[in-house]
Amino acid sequence: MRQEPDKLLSKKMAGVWRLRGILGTLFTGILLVLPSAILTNLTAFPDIFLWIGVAVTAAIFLVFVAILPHIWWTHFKYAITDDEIIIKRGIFIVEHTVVPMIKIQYTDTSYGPILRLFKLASVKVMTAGGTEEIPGQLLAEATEMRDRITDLVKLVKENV
Amino acid sequence: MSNTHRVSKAYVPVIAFKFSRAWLVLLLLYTLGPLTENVGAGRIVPFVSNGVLIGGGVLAILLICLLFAWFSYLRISWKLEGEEVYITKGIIKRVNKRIPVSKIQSVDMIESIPERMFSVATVKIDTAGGEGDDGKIPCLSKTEAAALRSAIFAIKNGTIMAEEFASEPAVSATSAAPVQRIMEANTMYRMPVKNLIFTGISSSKTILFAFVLIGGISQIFQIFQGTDLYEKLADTLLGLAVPILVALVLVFLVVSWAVSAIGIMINNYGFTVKNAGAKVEIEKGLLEHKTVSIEKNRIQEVRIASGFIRKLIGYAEISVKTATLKVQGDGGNGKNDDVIGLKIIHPFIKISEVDYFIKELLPDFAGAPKVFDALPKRAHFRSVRRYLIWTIASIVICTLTSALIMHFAGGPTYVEFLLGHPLLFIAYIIPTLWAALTGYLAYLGKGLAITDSFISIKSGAYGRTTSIVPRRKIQIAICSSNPFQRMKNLATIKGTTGAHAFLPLMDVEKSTAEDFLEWSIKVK
Repeated sequence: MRQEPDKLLSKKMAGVWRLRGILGTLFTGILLVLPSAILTNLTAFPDIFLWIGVAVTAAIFLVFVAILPHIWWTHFKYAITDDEIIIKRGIFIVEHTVVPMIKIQYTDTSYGPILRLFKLASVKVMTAGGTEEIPGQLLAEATEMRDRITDLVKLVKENV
Repeated sequence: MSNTHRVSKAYVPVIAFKFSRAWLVLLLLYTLGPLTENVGAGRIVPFVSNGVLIGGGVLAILLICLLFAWFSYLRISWKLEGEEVYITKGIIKRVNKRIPVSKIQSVDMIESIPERMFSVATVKIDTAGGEGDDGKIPCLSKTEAAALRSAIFAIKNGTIMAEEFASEPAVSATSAAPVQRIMEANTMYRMPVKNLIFTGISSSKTILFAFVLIGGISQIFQIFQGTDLYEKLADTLLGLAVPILVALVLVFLVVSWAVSAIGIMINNYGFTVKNAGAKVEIEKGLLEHKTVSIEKNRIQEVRIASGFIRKLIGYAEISVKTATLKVQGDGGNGKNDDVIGLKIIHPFIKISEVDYFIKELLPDFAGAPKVFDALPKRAHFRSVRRYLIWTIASIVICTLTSALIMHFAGGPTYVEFLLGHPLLFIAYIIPTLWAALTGYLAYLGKGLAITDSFISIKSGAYGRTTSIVPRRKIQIAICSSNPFQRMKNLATIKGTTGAHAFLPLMDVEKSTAEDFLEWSIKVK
């Protein structure tokens, strides 16, 4: 490969994943702990299930909030050249994706509530064969990136 | 054709039949039980009154459906005006559909059985990214249907030619010869009855069908569970000797195979492929007659597949995938979508004639590479191990469950039981050997060929599937690797075309996979 993708996402993206992890942990924690807590309080239900629930929740918290977001951030690299968009991602299964500029049908930037909180946006490129996403750019950067891709796409256009 | 058209009056009975079918079947299912009970018990009076009630029910259903169909008939109309097809339909929710001819991918003609009785046909208009039945115009008289089809194609060919000459001259052989477009479709192949029969009996779908049938039958048994019949049947089955049981299973397999073979024969009856310049036209079907047309420059991938039996007798099936522009949805990296939208263009062809057929029908694909590179030797071990791991895992799970069950049920332990029945070891040895053999053959079956404008991927342990993808049709190219592959410096190549994922290939040399990425973005 002539060029290894080297650009990283905004460092804030790790924060987004962390927040998502916290919300997810809260949700699973309630599902795991609450029923057994109620049962243990009201009946003679063994409290071992409660502790298992707490332990699992703590493990999920550790993995999805403390450990993974940073690793995810370091394991998503991309590059945008005149001819292609290259994305390299994944921890165990590493996927090396190439989207030729001439195949891109259109691009957009989008952000949900969490991304908006961090003033981030993700850039999506659509081809006839599917969509690729570069999540977590600063809003201004994302817009710039989208426009740059659109300009490059204009130069070379091919049919399906 | 610019004025508004109604569909044929046959729409009313055809649609009424379609609507009422499900209801009638339900009614029959629910009333058959009490009816037969009464007859069995010799109670004539309730039988008659039940009969009247059911007859009334059937009549009511038919009447409601006819009424519904009539209102629906009054609402449905279509016209072809200014390079657009307009369809209006719907009783409560009115649908006004406008389809620009330039967006139309294919126009198919389908004649279902009730439609054939009235000699009308449904015209199905496929657009890129279209969904549902919106593009269907049911029950047109056959002449009208044919006229609509050719009118659409006439407009389309005109616009396509104009576009192509403006933007990319001489991209393909078809655009270089515009005369061919207007040329009368010439028949490439019409399936003789002998081949039809072979198509049916050699299909590998038949074995799948047997499993579906087994599932269905076990469902029926569950319904009867607890009744006398079930007890009797279970007793008789358990009383039979092993050879008879085996024979029963074999008979069952043969019967289900025959049924499915007949189904395939009915579907492919009179299979005809026509070469119509820029299009491939296919006609088939005994009960439901289908006319399908595929635009050649929309073809994303050509597949040549032969199952185990077909490979033995030297025959294959050729299918193509056409562009289905589904822009929404996930990243297109889904694993199961590599069989979506496959259209068969030849169900049964001698392997030696495949090249000629493709060259004649799809000249754009004539330059596809024929010499494949084998995978590196390191992939060999991985292939065998991959199959072995799954087999051994399932054997271990089965063993553990049986051991646990026997442990809690009391009596002899699993090991004692196993030593008492040495034949059971076969259940361990045969699947393991089978898995090792499959892994070995799967390795041998795989191959990759990349030329300047094509990638061909070959795979299959007992059968063989070859997939040909032109480089300019590839939308996204992916090279992925898991930790085990990285240890051996191997990778998987996959990607998508306008027709979703194409056949992936595991365990190629990492440098080859990277070359593939580089190759996919070359502009010319």
